[in-house]
Amino acid sequence: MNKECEHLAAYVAFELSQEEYNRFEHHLSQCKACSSELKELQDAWFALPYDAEEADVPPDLKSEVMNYVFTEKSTEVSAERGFITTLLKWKCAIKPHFTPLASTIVVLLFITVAGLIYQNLQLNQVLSDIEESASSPVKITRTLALQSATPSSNAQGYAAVIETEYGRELIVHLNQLPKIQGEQAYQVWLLNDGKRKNAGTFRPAPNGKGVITYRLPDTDFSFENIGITLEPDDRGTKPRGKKVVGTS
Amino acid sequence: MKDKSDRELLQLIGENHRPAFEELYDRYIKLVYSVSLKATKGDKEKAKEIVQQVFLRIWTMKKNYDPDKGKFANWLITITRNIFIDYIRKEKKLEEKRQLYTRHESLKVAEGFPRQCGNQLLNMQLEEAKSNLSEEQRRLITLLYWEGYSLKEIAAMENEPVGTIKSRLHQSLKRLRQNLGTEGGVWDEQGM
Repeated sequence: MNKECEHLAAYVAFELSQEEYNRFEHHLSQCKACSSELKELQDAWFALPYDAEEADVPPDLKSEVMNYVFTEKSTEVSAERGFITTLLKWKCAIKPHFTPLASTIVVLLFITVAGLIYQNLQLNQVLSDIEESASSPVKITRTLALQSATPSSNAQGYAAVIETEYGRELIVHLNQLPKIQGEQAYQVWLLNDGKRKNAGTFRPAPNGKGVITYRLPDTDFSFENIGITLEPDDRGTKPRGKKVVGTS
Repeated sequence: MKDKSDRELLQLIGENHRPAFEELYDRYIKLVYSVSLKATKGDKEKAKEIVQQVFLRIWTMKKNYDPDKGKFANWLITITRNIFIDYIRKEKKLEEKRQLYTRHESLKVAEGFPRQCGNQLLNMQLEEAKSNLSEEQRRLITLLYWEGYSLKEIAAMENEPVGTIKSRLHQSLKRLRQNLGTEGGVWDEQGM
């Protein structure tokens, strides 16, 4: 009989801490006196509940218990418990691998990554906003046929005014333009009441095709005709060359 | 199902076999309910809650039962006691909180504590008429087994060292075992 033996009754009554329990289990495997007395004390301990007076079980208790065990409510509870247990297990498994320094670094990395992810999400949002507006339909409000103004060329094409959410734009599309030489360039003019407005210059592709777009200044701006001239360079503010193609 | 042993039933329950679980319920409900009713001092609603928790735990923890470590009945009793003690301790905490708000009355409650213990002793004398335990031993069993006080708490209540309480428990269980040997004291026990 030594000091450990005093814990036998507490062991039987589940009154030992985990540490004491482990120590006593070890003691039990070595101490004959305790192991021979253990059964006796356990018999008494497990007989204690039979002191409860035998009660009449309510007949509807069974269905209530079965409902409780097999309904979603209790399975949810146990699923939740299962989840928490899994989390705790993970925590215990991971904890030994982290010193305070490592933990701090991991936390900082997490914060950085979270920040980057947030920024990325924001950018994606902005991008998708832009894409959304780009995908909003474009309305074509006016089309004009463009024909050659000189008998020596077959140049022809069309112009269109389109309306987007950013404003109105003019698109000019031409075919079979006479080839240019040197610094020469074609210049687009919008004509209204005898006034001319420069709508940009361009040099066509070697196959004679040319395209130009021009943002119309404001909603009040209008024009009647379009003329495209062949200019000696692309720096003119007034037409200097011949009209090559335009509305008839 | 009726002719199957507990061990066979538990094997089936391990495979999520509901009829086996219901048979197990039929076998042990009287014990679990009676114990729960005593632990809740006859409150049928509370006893029902405890019974539900016990069977839910058996169903969710069925894989944890190891027949080599002892009888199923003892495992079941341990589960039942753990649940009713949790239940009682929670209620005790609520009661303590409530008493904090009613300090004036609590003086009287404090005075009444030994009397309350006396009532419990009276109950216990009826419940344990069979046993030859001393009053101290019976009080210890009641406080520890049925009321969920720890050995330390009981030592503080009795104003005695924990070692004394431990050896009292030892003597009480030994004495009880001797009495059981002559008088039985176990009803409706189902072996494995």
